Amino acid sequence: MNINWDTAGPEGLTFFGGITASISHELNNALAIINENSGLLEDFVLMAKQGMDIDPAKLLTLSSRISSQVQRTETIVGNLNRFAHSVNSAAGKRVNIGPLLKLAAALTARIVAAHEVTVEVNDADQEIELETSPFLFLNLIGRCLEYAAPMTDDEKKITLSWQQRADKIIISLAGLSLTESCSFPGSEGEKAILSALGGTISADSENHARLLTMPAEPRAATKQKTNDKTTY
Amino acid sequence: MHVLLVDDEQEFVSTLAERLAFRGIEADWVTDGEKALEKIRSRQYDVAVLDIKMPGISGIKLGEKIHELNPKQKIIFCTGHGSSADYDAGAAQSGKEYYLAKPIKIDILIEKMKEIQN
Repeated sequence: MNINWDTAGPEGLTFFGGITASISHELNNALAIINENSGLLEDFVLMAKQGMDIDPAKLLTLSSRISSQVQRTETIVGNLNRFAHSVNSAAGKRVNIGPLLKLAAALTARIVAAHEVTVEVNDADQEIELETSPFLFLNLIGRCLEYAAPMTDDEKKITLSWQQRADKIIISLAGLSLTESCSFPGSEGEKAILSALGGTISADSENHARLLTMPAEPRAATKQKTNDKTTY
Repeated sequence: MHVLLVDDEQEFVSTLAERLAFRGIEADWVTDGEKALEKIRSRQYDVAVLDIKMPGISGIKLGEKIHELNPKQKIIFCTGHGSSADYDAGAAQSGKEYYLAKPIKIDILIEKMKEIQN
């Protein structure tokens, strides 16, 4: 199969739309907080004009809250930009797997939060490079997290970790109750992405995890890599 | 007027409550659906303002549960949907007439609160 950004067909575009809509929602939430805090600052200015004493510490708190939301917004926009550029090297490039998993977790945070679930990416894992299509990889991890979110155990936390074993890279989604059957991949698009990336899904009962196993080296079809230096 | 504000963004909902208080509107706030139901059980509110997208019980589902407890409870839904297209789709899906997009203009919120009361 020749990998390109459209390997998932219309489902790839649906995923792109879903993520960008979720991000615009997240941006509006941050803007709403900025709006309320700046509104409260205005309220205090009006009160001061009417001769009321305003505690400077209160003004400092509001200013600090606004700065904090601006930083939050910068992070969200940065993630959106990295996601948008993930289609630039659809045919394949070498990427560091940790930052790419962190981006996938950040992009889907609000979607999995609907199930009161959080995602933690294990920073302690080794640095491993993988040649892959960043867009399809994000698509695959995002969909795995969406499937996994309703299957978590009582802790309601999915831990993403990774390791290399011989010629395979194994990505673990831990914290799952394995009593429920896994219907991933379900759709044609999901099957196409998994197949294009050479991945398989299995269960790890001992660690309450689902494992995504992918080849460490690209398959023949993925060897048209670009020299894109974007970091993830 | 005494209102209940429900939103998982604590900083948003607490600051909005403070601003409403300056305008003579007493506002209680909570950050999830379960706590909102406890509040609704404990006292009567003139208006409840519910965020639609919240972890756990969504705002739409919460509205239904509130109406099971008090069919006459007045509700305004709000959302962080990003554009008029999103807004129209959300309003149509929810079938709710009182639907505000974030960031909220406080004067419009108060206007809606008064309108829904009457």
